[in-house]
Amino acid sequence: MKKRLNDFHNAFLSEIEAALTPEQVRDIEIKYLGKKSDIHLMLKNIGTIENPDEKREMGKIINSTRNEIQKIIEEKREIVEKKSIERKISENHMDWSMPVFSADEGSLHPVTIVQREVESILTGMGFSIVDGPEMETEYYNFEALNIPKFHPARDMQDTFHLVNNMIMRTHTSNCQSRSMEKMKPPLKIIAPGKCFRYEALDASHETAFYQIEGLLVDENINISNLIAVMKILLSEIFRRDVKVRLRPGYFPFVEPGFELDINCLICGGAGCRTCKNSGWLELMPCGMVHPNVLRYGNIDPEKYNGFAFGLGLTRLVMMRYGIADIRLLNGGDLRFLKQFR
Amino acid sequence: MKISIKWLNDFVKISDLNPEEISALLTMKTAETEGIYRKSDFYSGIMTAKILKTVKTDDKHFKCTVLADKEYNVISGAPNTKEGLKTLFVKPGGYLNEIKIAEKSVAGEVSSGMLLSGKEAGINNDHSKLFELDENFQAGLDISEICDYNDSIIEIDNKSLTHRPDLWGIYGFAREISAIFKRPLKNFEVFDSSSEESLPEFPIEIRDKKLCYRYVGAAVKNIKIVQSPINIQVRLFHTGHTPKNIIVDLTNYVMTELGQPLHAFDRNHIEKIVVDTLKKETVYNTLDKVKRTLPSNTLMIQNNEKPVAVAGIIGGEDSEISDSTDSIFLESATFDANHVRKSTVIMGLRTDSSARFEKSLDPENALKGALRFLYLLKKIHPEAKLTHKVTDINYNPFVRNIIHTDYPFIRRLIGERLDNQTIKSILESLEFEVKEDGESVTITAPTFRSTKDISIREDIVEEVSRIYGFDNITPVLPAQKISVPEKNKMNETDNILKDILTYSFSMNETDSHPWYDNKFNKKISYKPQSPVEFKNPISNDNTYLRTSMLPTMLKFAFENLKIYDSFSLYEIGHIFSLNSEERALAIILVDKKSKKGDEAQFFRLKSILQNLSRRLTHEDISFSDPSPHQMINPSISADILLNKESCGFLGALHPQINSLLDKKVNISYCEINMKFFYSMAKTESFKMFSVYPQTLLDFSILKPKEEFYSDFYAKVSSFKHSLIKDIKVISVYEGENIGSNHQSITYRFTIGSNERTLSAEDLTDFQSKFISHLESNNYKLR
Ligand SMILES: [Zn+2]
Repeated sequence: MKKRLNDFHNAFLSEIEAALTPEQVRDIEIKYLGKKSDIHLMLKNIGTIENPDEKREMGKIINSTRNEIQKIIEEKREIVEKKSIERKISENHMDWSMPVFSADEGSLHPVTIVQREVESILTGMGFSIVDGPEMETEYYNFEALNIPKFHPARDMQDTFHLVNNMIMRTHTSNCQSRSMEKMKPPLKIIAPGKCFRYEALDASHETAFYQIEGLLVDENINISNLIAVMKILLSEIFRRDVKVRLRPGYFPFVEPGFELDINCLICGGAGCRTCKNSGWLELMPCGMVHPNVLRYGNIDPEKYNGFAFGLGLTRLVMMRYGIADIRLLNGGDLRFLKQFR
Repeated sequence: MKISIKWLNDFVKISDLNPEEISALLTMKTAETEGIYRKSDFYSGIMTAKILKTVKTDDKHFKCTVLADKEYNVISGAPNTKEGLKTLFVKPGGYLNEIKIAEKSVAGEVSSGMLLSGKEAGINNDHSKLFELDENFQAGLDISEICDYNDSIIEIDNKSLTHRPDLWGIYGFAREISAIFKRPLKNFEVFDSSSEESLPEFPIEIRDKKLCYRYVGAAVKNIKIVQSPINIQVRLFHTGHTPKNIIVDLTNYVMTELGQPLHAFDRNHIEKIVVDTLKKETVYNTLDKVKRTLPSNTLMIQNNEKPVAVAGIIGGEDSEISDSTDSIFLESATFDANHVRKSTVIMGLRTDSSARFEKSLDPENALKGALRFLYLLKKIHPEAKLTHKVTDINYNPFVRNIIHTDYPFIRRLIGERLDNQTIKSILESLEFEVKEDGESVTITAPTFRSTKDISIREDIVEEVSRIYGFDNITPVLPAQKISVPEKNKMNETDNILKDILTYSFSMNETDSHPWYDNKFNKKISYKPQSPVEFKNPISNDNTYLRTSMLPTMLKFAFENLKIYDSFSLYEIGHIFSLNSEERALAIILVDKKSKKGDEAQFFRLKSILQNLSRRLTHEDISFSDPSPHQMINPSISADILLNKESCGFLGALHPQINSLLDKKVNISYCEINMKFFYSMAKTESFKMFSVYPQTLLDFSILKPKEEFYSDFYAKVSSFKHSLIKDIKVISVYEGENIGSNHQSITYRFTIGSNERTLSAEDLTDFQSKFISHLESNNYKLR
């Protein structure tokens, strides 16, 4: 019987050695440990041994052989299952560089993109966004901004006139007086929007363009505050420290008035075509709010003062994306629009 | 404005400074400069020369021996070529307006260098003859030794001078430079008229004192109309004038120096000056040889009752200086700025003179200008003689503006610790008078800053801060209370809608002009309903503001169809009527034509709108039968409703559009008034879902085709049952096995309870109740 067991064990060992798949291991398990297996028969037949010591001894050997076989099977199963998974993985090797087929993507207009950025910077600084009409009265566009009839400044911004005696606003500064009438100081507003100038169309002049007007009115506001706020605003917009300079500029609704230039971003100040070789780009008219404008808005200029600025949003968009022809912005051309995803 | 550095140097010493530095500081403190023109970058090698000998080579040309720094053989074809003439000459290798002058062959002869006309030499515009130099100039001198030829000209942006009447002359800039560089300003020398006081007054009458503040007249005899000395011509030419003759040139010269326009009449046409407005519309010939119709009330200069000039703008043809003029009447006056401005607009004519008067000139300069003219004239032509004393009719309404303020205010508004003395000396360098009383100051503006420029204390702050230098002010953030910006519903809503349309529906946002393109409207046969018309349209095709975005979007679609077959565009734009302005959302869908493609587009649009409104509220937008629209297919369209009020429409474009296009496409359009979205409020709350298993039950119900779906659905959904969690349509079927008169609508009910797991009885109970509800409404299950 011992020999039979030994032969059985050896046969098992050579078969399990050759097994490669989990199926083969399962077949071997059934053959060697199943109900019809030899070892099962041997265990059944153990009762025929008469010598109790021999009987016990044999039982022990059979059991330990069975346990060992069981153990080897488990080990083998683990190995072949692992190999089998590895084989499956390697058989399904994929080319990750194959192309994908994407659907059309939508786009935001570049003005929307840059406008959101600037709005988020300014609202972060505490400015509220206000709106005003594009079709405006001469009062809000001119009179309330200290630009009386026949003032030469009306010449500087040639105006679209309408048969209903209204005009197309020439700047979003029309929101200054509109806001002062509604809100009390301290006042911190920005007015983004489209403005219109009656001038011939070419690559750098549009009859319509976007502007963001800003207005801050509080007690004890001064020029030094204006410079500081403008510097922060521009550094945020251009995402780096920008060199700015302030020079006198004349706008009837501010006094003193300034032109704010930034160091040319294209040539870095050395002089190029964009900056007409000056090294500077005119970016933002600004100034201390004229007391007359405060009066028009029912704010006491003895108690309050403030500053205003006009950021050329269209200009900013063109600088940001390197758009040379302003007319592309209003053309509705998908070859242009699709680039701003 | 062109500013000559050499000319400036007459009034403030700047010959040691480089023009770039002056230009940069003017930009930073006074007015924007646009560039520097250096004569020597364009011209060189020009000398004084004498023609020693001429030999005629053909009927036009002379072979000349010319003495400059040495003798040259030069060919000249000018009519005034003659022996002994002193003129200008460019050596071989010299430059004329950037062109190198080489030895070259003229009429078969070699010419070394060139004899020059005034135009060639860059001195005037006369190309009819050689420039004639005064006899007393020596030959062989570089031109820069006899005049301010090698000058640098700073170009000033006129727009930055609109508020500064004092800066329309070089002397004004000299004053600024003297303040900026802290250098003394030299006196502006004028004719001393005290010796002529015994002469009679010239008859001058100002009838309209509101429009003419001051009129200074001088009558001068012994005048010879000759060319001006070379330096006057050079200076005038460099500053943008065309030299003509000594009288015209001197009026321009004084205007360029002082900013005060002068006008010289031929004295033979002037007996008595009357300044008055026209009583009726009048046709008048101005000296530019144009017949002009002037409206009544235009201010005129008259000889008695006969007009001789349009005041402040342009002289008349018949009183102009001519070559035979031997005596002149000089006008130096001040006119009302607004009046001059209005007249230039009406006449469509702007002159150097009107450009200055528009700026509100200082009437003090009227007298100064006349006396400066006489001073210069007497220096050049000592024989010129006044026949009358300089007559000054003065109704100057301006007074020197006085501003009461205090040093602390000035410091506070600048935000910089400037000491009193710095403030005071800056103001004094600009000719303000400053009287101190402790910290208070009384500042008197000079006359030339009092006509409109300086009137309030903020103006004083500007003067101090600009000369001090804006760059020297330390930036300090404002000390303010923290406040949270107010929310802007329109802005937020626009942004939400744009994000959804762009990123969820893959649309492209456009931006367009708010006016119609009449040509396109005609092409698509679109007739806008009472649009607002422009008084001054940018072109004849853009005469109306849009009342709808449709033509704009359709035009974009047409353009893009040249390249793309299928796309969707949107824009939130403004639309206008006579007394209102609204914001509208426009969406246009374009796809290749397919069967029922227009219906598919319609429902795509409908689902987009529902999606948008659900994002902003929890409710669905509602729709109704379409109102007629000229561009929309009446069979495939609907109106959009808000509180039973129509606020937009959607639909397939009218099939007539397709005949205009080569490509076969379906186009759908939707326009909705944005106020609909702005008025929506979203209530945000959470409802606990059921944690028990839920059951899905599908019912396919037969609907007669002719029944309007919303009526059908109203009846189906009138079934109320406590276990209904949700109802969805999952399919609409039309086909043979249900008969041609019906559609099968399949609803999926989600059934469940928040308290328990449903039992089989619950479901059979629900089913039988729903089926009997359908039966009572005469519907059958499929
Ligand atoms: Zn540059």
